[in-house]
Amino acid sequence: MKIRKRKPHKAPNEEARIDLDSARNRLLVTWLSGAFAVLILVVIQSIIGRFEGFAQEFWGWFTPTIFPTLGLMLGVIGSTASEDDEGRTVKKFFFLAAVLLSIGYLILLLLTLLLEPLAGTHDMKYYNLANYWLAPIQALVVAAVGALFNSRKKTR
Amino acid sequence: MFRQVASVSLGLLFLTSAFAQIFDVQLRGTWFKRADTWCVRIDVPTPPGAQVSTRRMEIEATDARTHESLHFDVEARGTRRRGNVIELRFAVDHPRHLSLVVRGLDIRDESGRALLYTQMLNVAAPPAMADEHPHLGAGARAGLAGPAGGGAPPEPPLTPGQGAPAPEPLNAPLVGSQPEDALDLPAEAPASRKKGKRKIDIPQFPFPPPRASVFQKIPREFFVAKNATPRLRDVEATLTAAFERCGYGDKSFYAVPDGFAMASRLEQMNADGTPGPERWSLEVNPMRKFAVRDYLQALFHARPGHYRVVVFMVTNHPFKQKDAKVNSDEAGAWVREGLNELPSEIGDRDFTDDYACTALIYEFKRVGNGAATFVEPSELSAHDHLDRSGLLSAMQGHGR
Repeated sequence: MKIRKRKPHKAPNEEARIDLDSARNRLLVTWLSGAFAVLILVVIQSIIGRFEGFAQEFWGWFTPTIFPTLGLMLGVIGSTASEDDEGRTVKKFFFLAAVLLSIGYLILLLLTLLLEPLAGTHDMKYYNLANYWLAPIQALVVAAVGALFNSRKKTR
Repeated sequence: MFRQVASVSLGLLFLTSAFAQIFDVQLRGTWFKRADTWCVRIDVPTPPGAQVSTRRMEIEATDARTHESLHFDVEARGTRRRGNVIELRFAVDHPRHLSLVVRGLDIRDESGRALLYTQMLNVAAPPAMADEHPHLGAGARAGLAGPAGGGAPPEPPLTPGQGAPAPEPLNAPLVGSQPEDALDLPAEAPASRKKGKRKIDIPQFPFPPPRASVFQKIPREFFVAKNATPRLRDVEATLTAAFERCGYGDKSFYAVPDGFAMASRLEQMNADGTPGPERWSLEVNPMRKFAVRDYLQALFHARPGHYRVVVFMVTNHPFKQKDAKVNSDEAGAWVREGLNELPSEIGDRDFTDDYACTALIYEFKRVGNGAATFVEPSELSAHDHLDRSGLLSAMQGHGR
């Protein structure tokens, strides 16, 4: 007679979840790192004079690419700084998806800036063209990050 | 109705007399026949001591009724006691009512002051066509008087700078009936004979020209090396050959006082004045070949587009550039709005010592998405522009 060993009881999807607070912090660090790299490049370009004649237009294009998302993250983290987030978790898959989307978006933004000298069009014509590939991905990233940072439901 | 007609008539009469007061010299023309050939003699009645130069004279003749352009030869030019005369020989079987436009006469009084003259005049056919003798009656008077019973021939339209039609007074003295007897007509060089040409509306280049970024007078030797007595068409040939050698495909011609202007297409150049790789594109040059240094330069520095239009102005009128800036759209349109070739009425003029060819360089710079702005003054000299575009050596090469 075979005796089947019972598997130890686990909470549903316990290993597939990650602490929400930790997820938010990691995502914020990811965004801050990427945004800092991009921002440094753009500031140096502006100081040297790369955007001579269209600096206002350029910054008008550049600012919405990172700052609204960063503002959302910082705002949520700041507002929940005094709250007890014990017991709040998020699916690891969703967290990974949000991180990968964010990294992909930030790399794409950096590449967009770095490849401009090799492009066929230049200056604002090029940056406006870049909106075709940046805007859809940014929309996905904002959706993922927004969901993650607006989650207030406790799982336990 | 009668009052309106009377008012208009009085107005015309007043205008006619007003024009008569404006001009110092009023040309008169009459038909006469010499050896079976109908000729028109144009009298240039000048005050005593006045000098008349016909070197740059150009005449157009049209039938006043049909507006058909008539061919003629300048038969003779000479002096009489009471002024100068010019004789035109027409290949027509009978005299017609003619509209003549006489340009380029230089009439100066004793003190050297240039005298105004009526550039347009009407020459009425003799009243009796069958009468082939040049004993002209009152009806053959030139100008507004018109033939007896035939009505005045229609007025040719006025064009800027041409003055008014000759307001011939009704009691004007008629020229002699036997012109060949009284004339002292040293025929000029055959080359100076002019054929009647179809009138072309030649676009005028702004004169004086708008302010250029830089300009330079082109040495006369470039145009006279092959031909000691060149004409404007020879100058144009040298400039055209230089344009072609340097890859300027498009060009267009404009009239300027007693000369012409030739405008190039708007071209993109490098900052040093050499033609850019995307010469005819208005877009800023992309990186064709990857090099780290070029890449970093392009990543961190603005890449302005440099553009220029070259205008060669050939005229015997010294000019001071107008204090008006031209924008890149206007300069770019010059190549489209001019004539595709130099009209012979301009090209046939002699490139005399008082003519000069001046290169006017209009440079523009575009940064970012904005419109290209006029550069004044250019960082390069006109010589640099002409040298690095290749035009200077091309002109030198053609001149030799």
